[in-house]
Amino acid sequence: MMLAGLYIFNFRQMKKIFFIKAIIFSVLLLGVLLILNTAIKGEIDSYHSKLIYTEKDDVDLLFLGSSRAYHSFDPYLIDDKLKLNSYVIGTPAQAMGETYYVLKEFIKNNTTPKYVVLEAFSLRTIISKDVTLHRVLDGMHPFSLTKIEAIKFYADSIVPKRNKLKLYMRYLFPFYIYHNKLLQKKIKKEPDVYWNSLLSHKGHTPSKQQKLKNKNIVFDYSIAQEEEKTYLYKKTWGFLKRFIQLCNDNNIQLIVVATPYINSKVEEKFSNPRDLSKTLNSLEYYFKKNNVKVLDLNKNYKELSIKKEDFLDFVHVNWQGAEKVSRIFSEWVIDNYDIKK
Amino acid sequence: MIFNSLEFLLFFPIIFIIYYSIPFKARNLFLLVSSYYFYSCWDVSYVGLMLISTVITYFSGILIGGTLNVNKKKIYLVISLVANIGILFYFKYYNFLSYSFQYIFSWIDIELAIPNHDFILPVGISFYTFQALSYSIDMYNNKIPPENNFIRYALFVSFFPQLVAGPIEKSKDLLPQFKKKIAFSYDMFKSGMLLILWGLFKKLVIADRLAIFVDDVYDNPSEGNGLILIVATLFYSIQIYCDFSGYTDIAIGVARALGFKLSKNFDTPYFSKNIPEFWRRWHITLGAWFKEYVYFPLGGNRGSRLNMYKNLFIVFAVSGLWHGASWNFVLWGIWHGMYVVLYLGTKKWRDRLVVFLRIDRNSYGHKITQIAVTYFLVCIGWVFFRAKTFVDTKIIFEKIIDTTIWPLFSGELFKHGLNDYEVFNTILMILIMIGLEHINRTKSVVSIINKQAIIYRWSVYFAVIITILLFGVYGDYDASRFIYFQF
Repeated sequence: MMLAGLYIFNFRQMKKIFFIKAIIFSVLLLGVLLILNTAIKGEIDSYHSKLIYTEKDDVDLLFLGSSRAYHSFDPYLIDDKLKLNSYVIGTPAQAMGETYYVLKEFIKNNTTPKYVVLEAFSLRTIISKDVTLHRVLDGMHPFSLTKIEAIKFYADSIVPKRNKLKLYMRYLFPFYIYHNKLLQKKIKKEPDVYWNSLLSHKGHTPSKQQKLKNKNIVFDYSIAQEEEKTYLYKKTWGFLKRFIQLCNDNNIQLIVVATPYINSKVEEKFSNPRDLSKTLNSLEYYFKKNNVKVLDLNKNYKELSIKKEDFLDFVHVNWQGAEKVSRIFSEWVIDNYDIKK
Repeated sequence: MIFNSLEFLLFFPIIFIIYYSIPFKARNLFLLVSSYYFYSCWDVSYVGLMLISTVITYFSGILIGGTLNVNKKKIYLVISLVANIGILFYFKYYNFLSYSFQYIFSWIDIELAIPNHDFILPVGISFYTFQALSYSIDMYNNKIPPENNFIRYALFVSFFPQLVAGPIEKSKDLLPQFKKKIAFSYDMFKSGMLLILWGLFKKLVIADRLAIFVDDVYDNPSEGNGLILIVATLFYSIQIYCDFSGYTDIAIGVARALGFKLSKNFDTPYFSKNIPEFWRRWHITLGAWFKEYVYFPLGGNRGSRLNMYKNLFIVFAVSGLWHGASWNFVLWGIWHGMYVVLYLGTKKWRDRLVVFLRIDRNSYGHKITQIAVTYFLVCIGWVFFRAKTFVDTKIIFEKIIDTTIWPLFSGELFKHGLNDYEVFNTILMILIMIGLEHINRTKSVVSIINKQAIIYRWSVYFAVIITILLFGVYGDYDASRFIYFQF
């Protein structure tokens, strides 16, 4: 009782007006932080996930995954072939966990798509690097529940644990890490041009450059026939299960597509379709069980008539390659699904 | 836990609210526990070290105060001195001396097998041991009564705002404050928070930005041009000032918000007109400590002039060593000792020259010249302080002597981690800081702001906050440490 009296006594010393001022000050400070968050734009790579919130017609077919998703699929060509509305939301090096959160946020903010295409590279990407997670989460609304769920997952898995607080700060207020760009003039590309291009191409980024002009590349068709199996990262496996569950819960037909890339011994670390094929082979049973069809375009180089000129680099196709991939994909969908808008 | 970390941003408001919410009787204990938690965030294992120093000094204080026998008093004092200096020596200087001996003996082809430690220097060890030492010496000299309350004494040693990098408080100044019943004062809180913001501005906006350039140049001095090394040294002079005085501002601000007054540690030192004045305005509490506990016991300025010069030399050399276990720091200390001795020794000649040249000592021209010369000399000293090794120091001076001005026009200046925007922005911030601190000498800027209507006051707060958020260097997982933590 005595203690309680002292508590009140001491608080009274501090005066009510102090608390009111402190609260108003804190609210204003939060406002400043939110304004800075909006004003200081992060990497343009995070603009892809911003597409979740843009106004668009009901999406029937949604492409998700890494940069290979937004380089390979041209929604306008696919829409024309399939007579539906498609859209691409990929982010660079998107891992399976990030793909899961993108779909979850997309469903919350848009009509649920009938089909979702998962570009298979996400199955081979390690979950989750700081940089790749930023590219996904920075584009999401500041305090969306999906974003907080993703941060929590990442925070729980990081070491050392003492960095948890900093991690929340970095993701909830991205200006915390991007403010230095102001003085460092690091935003080289024109953000508005990039954003408008994304909007006008429905998330697709057609690339004109041919970075492989002077490289001697020999296509190795034989490796695509590889039937070996390989492991899946534990966390990737966990998120794949959650992803399929999310699709099933929302009556979404999931399709997995491995887009083509060059098998090159020179760049084996980055370019190794063998591993991706092995991953898909090892998931064959699981996919069948869940009614998930797989299109591995690395097994169809000849049918694709894909050439060196169709590539931007070892792992991405350019606009010409995207045309071929989109055509083959559309034909494959018509053959395998009863498409009705 | 560092003042410029997110953890502290969370830690301090919690401490503040709890501190003013609990009964007076429990506050010291609460602050003590908080201070130990604050310290343990670096390394729990070193908490025990601080506790050992505290316990030994506390009991020796009780024993010194409890006897009139001078010999016994002396024994108890020696125990305290040996314990504290022993801790400091073992953890800070053992490896340095061991390496030095091995090196010296290697000249005469003798290989000494002295074992070395591989542990990290405990943060703030030089600060809390010096504070403990001052308590024991003051007790011995009957300047203060013994502190019987262990919690109060332990808090005096470990009080978190000034635990790791000062100001080094005297027991007669800080201990009595723990006995007072401190009521919340809105004015104290306001001025404390402004000081914290000011300290963060100096640390994050100026010091840490300049550090990028300075580190880049000083890490590879052989690759740098003389002019770039001069700019890096000038930048370093500002960096170390903003880093250390920024820390002190935050420390004083945090303590003030909790109702405590800590000593002033800086007084615009780069406006000093001579080196002795510089030392009265730079790290004031350390200077006062050495004056009272080293210089005076050595004899001070009593006796012959030669004796005084010898004493000054010793004080500056020890002060250099206090800053770090390296010969570079010792040389830096001796260098400043030499300045002071030369300044005092040539006074008569300089006075005559001033009369001969008919220089008005009160003229602006004379004052500006004195300030510029003092700043130049201090900057030469910073080369010793910042360079990693003797060899680097030599290279830097050689390059500076052999400099050309072309890098200033070739864009070379912007190739060391900072682009043109960053350099000019930082220079602008430095000018703002110099202007405000100069005004502060005659009229407290904090009290000027606090007298304004709330709308203007808050505009200032938000202007400072936004400046820090936009132009500060932060965002990495590890907040940048303050330079003086290593001492």
